[in-house]
Amino acid sequence: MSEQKPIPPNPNRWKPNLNPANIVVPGLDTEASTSDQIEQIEQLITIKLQNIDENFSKIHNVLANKLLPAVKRYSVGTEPVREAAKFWTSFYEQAAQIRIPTFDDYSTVNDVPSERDENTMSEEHQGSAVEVEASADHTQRPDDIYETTVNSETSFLPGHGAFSSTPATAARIASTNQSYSSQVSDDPSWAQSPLVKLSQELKHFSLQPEAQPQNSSSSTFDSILEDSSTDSTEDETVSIPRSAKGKAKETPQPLLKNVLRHNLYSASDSSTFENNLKQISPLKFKAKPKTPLLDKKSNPYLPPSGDSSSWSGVVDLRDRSVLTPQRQRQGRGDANKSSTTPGAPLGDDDDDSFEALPPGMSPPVLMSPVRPARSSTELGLHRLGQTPIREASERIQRDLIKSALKSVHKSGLKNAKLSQRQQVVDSSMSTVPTPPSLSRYTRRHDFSTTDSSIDKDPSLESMIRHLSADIKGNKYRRTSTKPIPKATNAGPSIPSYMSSNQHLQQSDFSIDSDSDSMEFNDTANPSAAFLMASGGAAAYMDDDSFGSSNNSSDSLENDGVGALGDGIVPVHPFAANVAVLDDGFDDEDDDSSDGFEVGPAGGLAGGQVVDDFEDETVFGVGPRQSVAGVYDGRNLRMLGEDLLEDTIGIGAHMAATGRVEESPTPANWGR
Amino acid sequence: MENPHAERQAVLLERIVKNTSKCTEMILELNHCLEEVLRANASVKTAADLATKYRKNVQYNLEATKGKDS
Repeated sequence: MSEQKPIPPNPNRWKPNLNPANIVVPGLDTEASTSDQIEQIEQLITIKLQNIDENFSKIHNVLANKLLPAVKRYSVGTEPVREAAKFWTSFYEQAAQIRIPTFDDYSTVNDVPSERDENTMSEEHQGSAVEVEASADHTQRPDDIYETTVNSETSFLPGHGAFSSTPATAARIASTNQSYSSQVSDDPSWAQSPLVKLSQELKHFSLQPEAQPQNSSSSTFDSILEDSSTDSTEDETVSIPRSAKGKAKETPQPLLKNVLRHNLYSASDSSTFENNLKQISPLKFKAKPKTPLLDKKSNPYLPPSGDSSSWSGVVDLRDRSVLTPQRQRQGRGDANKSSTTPGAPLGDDDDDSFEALPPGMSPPVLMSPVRPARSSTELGLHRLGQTPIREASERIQRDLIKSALKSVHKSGLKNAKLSQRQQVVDSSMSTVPTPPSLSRYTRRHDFSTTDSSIDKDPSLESMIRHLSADIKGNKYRRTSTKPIPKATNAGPSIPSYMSSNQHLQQSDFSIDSDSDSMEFNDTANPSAAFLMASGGAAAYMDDDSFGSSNNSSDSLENDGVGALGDGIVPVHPFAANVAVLDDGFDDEDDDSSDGFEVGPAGGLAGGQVVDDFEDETVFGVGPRQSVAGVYDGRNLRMLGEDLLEDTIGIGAHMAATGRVEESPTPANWGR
Repeated sequence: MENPHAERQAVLLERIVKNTSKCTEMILELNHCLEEVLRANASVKTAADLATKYRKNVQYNLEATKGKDS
């Protein structure tokens, strides 16, 4: 076995002899008789056949017993090599922030079209109605455009690109199908060149502002998706550089999938990267489907002040500031700034970089179904993240409509009770400036205790209180950095003012609402929907104003509130209740009044508030506006959905920035 | 009478055919195994390519930064 015999050279090829007399049979005794010769020839033939058979059998034996096991041993033996190669491949992928399609990807790529079809099916199912409407007038346009822009951004996210490295990502195809379904309905979107797509997008973008007024006035859509997207469009189109918070808010069905997926795979710094990528034109990505290379703007080795065009491409690797890509460095710097953990020493860098994966990368070991569970627990979404947002919003809508359709006096008395109770809770909460996390929990606890006292319509009430708790919780979480330092200041510190004010108001209301609730509740009917609407509207405004503190470009109407935002926010849980009770005062005293200044009962507290803030709509949206919004029927579900999705977005941000920062600082990152 | 040699040769031919078919099967299986191995080792190839590229880049960087060094 050790040495093989040298292979004998092949004998000459047999040729048929023309003259049978010349045939020479080797080993044949030509001297014998003919019959003997025939016999001998037969035997020679048999021997030859036996040789052939033996050889074939040998071949088979060798194949079965030697070659095949050897190959199998080889494949087993190269297993560690493959593992090592996998590691190194992912290592290089992370280092270069690219995605290298491997052999396995071809199978997953083949799965993508099915998912895409499913998405487009659902899109078209919903988009058929859209098409009819959009062809009639342009009401629907802004939605489409908005979703297009969002989609093109989200689908270019490295996290998403890492998930499916093909040009035909589900979201992109779906979005383009949806967005251009009105014009190029049957034209497959991938057939268009990217330039055409871009020009169309630009065209629609210019159409957008004109279509907006129509949108608010004449939109006839009742479906949930349409509502959510229209309202969010009005919010978002005013501010082109959106905050990342807004992104999580308006996510119709297929988008939602992407958002979640995107959160799953890059929960750590996806949101920051998303903002980073906003300036990058989508054309480059469309041109390079397979490996979503980052644009030069996101060159990790580019110094923050450097010009990308003048980058020589040479990186001095011994320079310590270049060791890690810029994005990661910044993220880590933020974390170090905000959190208590000291800056990691340099030797830690490798481990850290493995933890804080660049969003584009998905090492095969780490990208596993284990991550979703971890992220959901990390983000603190146990409560809200478990139920799908859509279902929850639908449920909220159903319940709210039900309650609105039901007679109002049913919840009137109970509502007054509830408001008092909440008021007490709130004031007690706000007088003692507790840390935001604690306040959140205690608040929730209080609400759970008040749950027991309510017998009628428990689901709606509990849900509404749940939501309002969420609002307040959000607010406390988001503004956590602000009120605490202000409380330490000796100047016109807001918490102290707030507490005194609230004491006053509390006493007032505890008297007034007792007496008034009997009278006005029948007429004014501040039902649970009102409670939530006013509270939700006010808190929602606050959220926006705080989001705009980073961005400086949220919506226009929030500017007034945003100016007051610092002062108002801590008071807000209380303000929400005031708004509710304010309805009662209006109805009781003066129907044409604007609320606080006129009501004699709330005169003291209200006057003080107005003096301080010199604005009617101190408490966010005026109560009447919010009430009108509730009656409009469109905004019913919007409130709930905003809350839910806001919470989720906030959770992601909190997790991304170590639970302290309001939001990732997108403004500084693009450079 | 029958030729006994012909009978024997027929039997031999039959065996040969059987053996060849078995060999063909075996070769096909072997091909399959080799394909699998090759596919599995594609990652090794990718890694090797990446390493080569990385080495080239490092070489380039070292060359380029040599002047700035001292």
